[in-house]
Amino acid sequence: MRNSLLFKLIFWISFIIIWYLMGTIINSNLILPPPHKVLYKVLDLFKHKDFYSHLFITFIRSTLGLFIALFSGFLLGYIKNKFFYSTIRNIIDIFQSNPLIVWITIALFWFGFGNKTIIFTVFIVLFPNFYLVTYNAINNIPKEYLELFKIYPISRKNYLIKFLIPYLKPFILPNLANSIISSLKITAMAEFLSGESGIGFLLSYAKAFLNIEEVYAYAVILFILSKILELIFIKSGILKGDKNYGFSEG
Amino acid sequence: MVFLRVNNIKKSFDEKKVLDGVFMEVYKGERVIIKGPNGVGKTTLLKIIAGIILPDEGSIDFLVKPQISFQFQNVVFFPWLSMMENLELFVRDKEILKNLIEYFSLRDFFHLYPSEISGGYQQIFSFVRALSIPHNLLILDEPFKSLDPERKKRVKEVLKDHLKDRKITLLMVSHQEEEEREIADRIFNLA
Repeated sequence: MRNSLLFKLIFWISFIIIWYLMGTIINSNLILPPPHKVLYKVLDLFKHKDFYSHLFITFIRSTLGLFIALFSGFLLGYIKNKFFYSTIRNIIDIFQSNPLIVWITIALFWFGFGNKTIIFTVFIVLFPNFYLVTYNAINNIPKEYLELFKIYPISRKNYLIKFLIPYLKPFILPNLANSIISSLKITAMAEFLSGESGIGFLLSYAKAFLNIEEVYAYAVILFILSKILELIFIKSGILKGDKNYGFSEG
Repeated sequence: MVFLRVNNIKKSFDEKKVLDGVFMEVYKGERVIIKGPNGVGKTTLLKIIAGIILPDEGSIDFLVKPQISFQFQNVVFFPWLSMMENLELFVRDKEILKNLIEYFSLRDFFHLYPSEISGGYQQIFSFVRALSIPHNLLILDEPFKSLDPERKKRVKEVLKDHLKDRKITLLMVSHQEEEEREIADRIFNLA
């Protein structure tokens, strides 16, 4: 544990020193602004009310995309039909065989700039996992449980609340936690390409005006937000997390 | 009065014949113990009678509308529910449940999860669940398997008491001769 913390500390101090030295050597704010300037920019961004509203919009979009993917994945995964499964599997293959940028471009034609395109992008990335995890878990319910229900049938409500949801929980929760973290990143990317608001849009705006310190600042903010979410899920026991970064606890 | 007829039941798993033409007649209120060496298809026959699995050939004819309760050979409880919640999910007859809980002193185990109690106690809970669900056909697949002699004796007493004065038909798999003597009206040898 101590080794792990010490390693992390040494890593981050070295990282910042190397960043600072390289920034000094390169001596160009356009390529690599020094870390202290990026830090000032991060702090400065948090002083603006606008920034919070963009951050909020990014969160709302990523949450909506995530929940649409989760609920549709759960509902469709519940359907036990081989033809239906094959159809969805083929649709997933179509989703996954093209780079995301292709889908964002197509979605721009379908939905235009803004919420729908961004939420659609989050959905097509996250839906496959939720659907496949639910479908596989439901199709692999232990035989003993199925036999028990044949002898002792229970109400649909009890089946859902007392059996199905707790049974699916260990399959879905780690996937959900990872998806929450991913959805934030996907939202920022989709906003960068097709948004009129949100952190990703601010990033593209900063890039367009060559405001490199701000670009780095958004990268730092997104990194910190992802890490905070990851930490929350690790602390709550949903995600295991590689706490040791290669060091053994013993 | 005949309760059920097993007509020429055949069942194979992966081309391995387990049951090859079983005929059997069980009377209402009769207590039948099914005997036979391991792998002869005793559990399969019970599951076919209960409608859990389908035979490849043959049929089960019930001459009385069956209400089945089944104690499985391998104890099945949901690990995310406490023992109390596991019972409450299926049990309808609260009166029988209450009496059995008192008799076996199970109240202390209510808040525990299946993984926190011994195999023997899980077996007793499974037996209690089977008895607390309304039935006229009770199917028990090796109900005394993981029990120590003292608990085995108590479970047997409860079973005999439960069957007494009630027109319940019993089908039970057992390997013990003493159970055959104490409980069975008839032994059906599946070998």
